Amino acid sequence: MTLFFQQTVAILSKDFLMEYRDRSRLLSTLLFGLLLLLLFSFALSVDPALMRKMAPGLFWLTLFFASTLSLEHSFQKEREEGRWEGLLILGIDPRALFLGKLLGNLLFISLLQLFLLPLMAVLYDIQLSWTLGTVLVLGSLGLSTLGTFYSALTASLREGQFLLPLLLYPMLVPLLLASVKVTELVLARDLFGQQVAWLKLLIVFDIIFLLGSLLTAEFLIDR
Amino acid sequence: MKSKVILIFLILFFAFAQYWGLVRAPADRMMGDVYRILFVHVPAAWNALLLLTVSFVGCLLYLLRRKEFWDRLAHSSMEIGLVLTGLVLPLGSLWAKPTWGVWWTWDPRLTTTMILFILYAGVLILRQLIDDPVRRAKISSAVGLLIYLNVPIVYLSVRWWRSLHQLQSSPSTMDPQMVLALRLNAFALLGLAVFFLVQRMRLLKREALIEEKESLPPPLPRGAQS
Repeated sequence: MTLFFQQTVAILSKDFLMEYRDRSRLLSTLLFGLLLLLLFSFALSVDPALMRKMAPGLFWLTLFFASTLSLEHSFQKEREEGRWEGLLILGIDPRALFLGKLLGNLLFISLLQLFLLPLMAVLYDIQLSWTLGTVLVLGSLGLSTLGTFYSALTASLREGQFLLPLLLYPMLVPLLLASVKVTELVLARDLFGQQVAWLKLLIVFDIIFLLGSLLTAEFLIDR
Repeated sequence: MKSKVILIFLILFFAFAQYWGLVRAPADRMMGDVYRILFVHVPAAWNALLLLTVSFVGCLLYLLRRKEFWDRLAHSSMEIGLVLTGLVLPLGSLWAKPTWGVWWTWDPRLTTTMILFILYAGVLILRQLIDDPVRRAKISSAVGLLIYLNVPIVYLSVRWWRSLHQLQSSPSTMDPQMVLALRLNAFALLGLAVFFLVQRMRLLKREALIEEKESLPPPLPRGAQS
């Protein structure tokens, strides 16, 4: 069991180092997020009250679209220069590989959120709070779980990168609904305590998707 | 030959069931003749769910047993289930326009059906992109499992989000002729679906044989030294 966690941590720190040394991907993702926020407000409205109302939905959509760029890359990079064969020769547990990648993606998405939130607060005039943080963590955990799963899947295919959004987005629907709903309630200073039910739902989704993809990960990775 | 006879019988049975629904069953007190679309809409929805459930079982058993048969079952039932799901949506819209006044609403069942359609279409596209049959079977079974598990989650989450769909009518509030017509149609469509399923599985088996033959090295020309 300790070996499993050592492997997970090794994968995570390897990916972290790779991303840290070549920061172009992080930077381009952040800029893409900023661009999306701007485009949404150009396309939709100039009315501040309306933008404030739509902010939760736009935030999560921006996060989904921007993170797809990096999710795609998280397994794709192992396909280059025989890295995949290298990993397999080391005899790494497919689940550890999956979990390591998942944590890496979670970290990446959290950074993206930390960058987007203040921008959101400025551009769409919303109030930030600590409860919002819980929602963001839970939502991005689900996003990175399913994202890592489909990234592992599509990385091995020819033309796979076109397929990632098609397969991933419909699976994200429940997560999107719950995350947007809680975010809305938190921003509207939920007076009737509805947010607890939605938060619980979000936790249940996370657990189901995490277990489901950990159980099926070995079918995607062993080769 | 045998399958042709069965097909003709199934089509005749379907036509008979449709006749029963369109002519013998009485008009609805509120909706008039419009309601008759339920004789195709509801059987299509039932059978679509049934076939997608069969494909779930196929995926699960493939991963447990690793027999090609289960993958063929999962693949075929997914295809036919997808066609039926694709029928349910426009048929429902045709009914919704005169009854609810709109073609589409963001009701849980409608939304879930739409997402279901996209999810399964995605898996079938995915299958096209993987060349190695064993890998294809393994990956699409894993995805098939996950998708099927997601269906109730999508349904519940959208239901919490907003709701409007007609609740199911129970047989006790319907005219017995209507109930009979509905059941006849459901069985007629089920018969056709099972027929297609069997045919598709046969076809897949032959395709696999051809694929296997083509992947072997070509036979040596006559007289060549080996």
